[in-house]
Amino acid sequence: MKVTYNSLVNTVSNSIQANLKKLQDFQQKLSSGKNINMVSDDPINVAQLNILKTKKNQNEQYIKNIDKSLAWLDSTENNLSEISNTLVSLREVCIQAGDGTLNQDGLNSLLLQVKQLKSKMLNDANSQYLDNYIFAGLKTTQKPFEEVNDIVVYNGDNGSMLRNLSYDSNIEINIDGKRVFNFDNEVSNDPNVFQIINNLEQALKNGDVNKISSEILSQIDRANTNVFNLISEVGSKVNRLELTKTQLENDNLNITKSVSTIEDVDITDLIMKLKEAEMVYSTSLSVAGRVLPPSLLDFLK
Amino acid sequence: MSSSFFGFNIGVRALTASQKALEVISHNIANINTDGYKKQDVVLKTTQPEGIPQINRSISAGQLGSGVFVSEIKRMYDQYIERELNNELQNNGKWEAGIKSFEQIETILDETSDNGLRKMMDDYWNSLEDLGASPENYSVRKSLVENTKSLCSLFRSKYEKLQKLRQDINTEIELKIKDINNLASQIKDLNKLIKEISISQDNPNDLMDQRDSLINQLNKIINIDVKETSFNQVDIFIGGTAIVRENNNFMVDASLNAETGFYDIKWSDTNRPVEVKNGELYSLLNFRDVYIPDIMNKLDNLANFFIIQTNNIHKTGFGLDGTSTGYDYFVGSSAADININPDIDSDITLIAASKNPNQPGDNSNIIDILNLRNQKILDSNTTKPDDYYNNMIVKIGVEAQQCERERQNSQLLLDKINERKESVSGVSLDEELVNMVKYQHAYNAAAKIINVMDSLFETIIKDLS
Repeated sequence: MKVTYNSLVNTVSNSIQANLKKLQDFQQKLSSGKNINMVSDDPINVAQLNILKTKKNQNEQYIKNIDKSLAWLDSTENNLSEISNTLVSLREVCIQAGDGTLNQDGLNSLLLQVKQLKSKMLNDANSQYLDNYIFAGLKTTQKPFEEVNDIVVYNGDNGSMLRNLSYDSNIEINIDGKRVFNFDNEVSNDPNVFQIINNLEQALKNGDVNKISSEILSQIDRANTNVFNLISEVGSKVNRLELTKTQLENDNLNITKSVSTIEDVDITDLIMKLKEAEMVYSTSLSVAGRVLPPSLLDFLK
Repeated sequence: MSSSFFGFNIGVRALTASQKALEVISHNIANINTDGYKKQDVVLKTTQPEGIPQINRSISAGQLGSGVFVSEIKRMYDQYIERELNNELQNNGKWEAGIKSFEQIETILDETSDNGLRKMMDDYWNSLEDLGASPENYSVRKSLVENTKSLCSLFRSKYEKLQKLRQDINTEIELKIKDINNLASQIKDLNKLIKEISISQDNPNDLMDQRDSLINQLNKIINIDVKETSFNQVDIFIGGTAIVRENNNFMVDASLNAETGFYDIKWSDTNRPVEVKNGELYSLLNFRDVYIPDIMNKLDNLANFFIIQTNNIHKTGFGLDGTSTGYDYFVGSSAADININPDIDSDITLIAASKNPNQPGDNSNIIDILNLRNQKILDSNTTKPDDYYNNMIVKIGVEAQQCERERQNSQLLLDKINERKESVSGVSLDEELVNMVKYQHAYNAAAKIINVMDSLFETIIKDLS
């Protein structure tokens, strides 16, 4: 086979080109910090990456959801504690009154105290988190408890607020007013908490201390137990949310690792390869200088 | 007895032959870098010998040779290699045009960055999740509307860019058709010249080299068959129909199809379609008519999924005011015109998060819409929307990778073929120089013969005077 000058030139320039292309690839990877710059560089890994990245985005969103739910539950728990405190104060009033040692003046001053406690209770019942009523069921934009002629009515409903924890599981994060204050005999056959307070007021006015120490005191105790139960229910929900959050965060940590393994360049490895490619390139250049040959022309005189 | 001057004649012929050979060598060296040039060689033959055998033969022995002449100047050419080269050029053209289109598609879809549709869909779903977590919140609603608008505009712009790419390819097709006609007409002209020269028994080597180059170019664009006919002319066919027949060429037309808005490729005279099977034109047509429409179709399916499925659920829900219901969330019917319902854009309370009237804290309708993400509705109830899009991206990636591999293979083959072609037709300086020295010596020797003859005459003329 005849070897011509042109075929030598072609071979040399093709291999220089190929070496330069390799050098360029490494440089592109190093400068972008990414192994994959086009889908066609590595389609299968891009598919994997897309799935991982979407999963990570989703997890981040669920973590955001959980943070919101946690804030809501925190606020619920605080208000329930306040309500419980008020109930404890009411209980003390009952015990003081039931003692039998107070005259009507004493009972009247207790009545004032009860009136204040009642308005505090109503205030707590209508408390809001970020403009939304906590104990209103799903009617979150409307004041749930209203006092009409001393009678407190519930305008909310018993809808449950469900929040997504993952694509296939959710959690109910609200406690509606019916359950907190036993409206419509939701929890027990006792009258609702505001009615109990009304009864207490009436009994104080009437000096009916027997009714206070027997009936009303135990009703308040039961109401308080109910609130305690709700607080522990909230607590267990907070636990579940925090556990899920930790899982999601761990999950994302692993995903980040996998994404980085696929996508990010191994700098040391790449620099070694780059150096190698540089060496091959400069070798091919010097070879080219030597190979592009002297011709017969140099020897004909 | 031969003439006294006979020896002179032989010397002169030898001189002329060597000189011609040296001229051919000069031509070779001069064209060492000319594209498509094929090395030429002189073919030397002995001239007609003196005397015909006959009964009353002359007294001298045998047939006396009468010298040398250049019988032809031929080019070093291997038809088989040329055929292989042409075939591979068609493949090379096809894959090269393919890679160009793939690169553009990948740039348009831009899926390795965070500006792609996948990221935007993630953002959209996340905004819905946000709304699910606080359905009464105005700012969350606002951000959902904004993200929906971004998603819709991304759908539209990707779709539009793909359509634009089709139009660009269409323009390129028109240019290629012009190239084809131009090349065919040049080949026809060369055929005419080649015939004229061939009739007079000469070899139109340089013209044939030029024509080979043109045929190479034509092969890269479209699948052609080349057939040699009389007097070194060639006929060229595309799918069995002649585009060049000796000194005629037939025009190929890019005729605008009113229905598609794109060019159809037809024969001017018969109006029949041209059968494009390979070369750049094949890839361009394939991308314009099959591949890109397929991607656009998939985007349409995805957009339609969003529009129809979301609207079906959204319509049944209730807005923040507790009474408004029956609103579509999206308007439009394809990726080209998908948008958020302008009513919702102007009044974000209309987003129906709640399933029941008067429950602003309810998110169950949003949860239902979110569940669409995990429902296998697309691809005749087999695929989730995220997967549908991902599959599409990966399919394009794999095919682009495949195309690039084919291109590299074909480039490698082409290089090998060119190397072989070079070994047959290429000019080697060393070879030329060796030949140059050879013919130089032959020339010197022939001159010496004349010199000797001269001295013979001198003897005769001087000594006999």
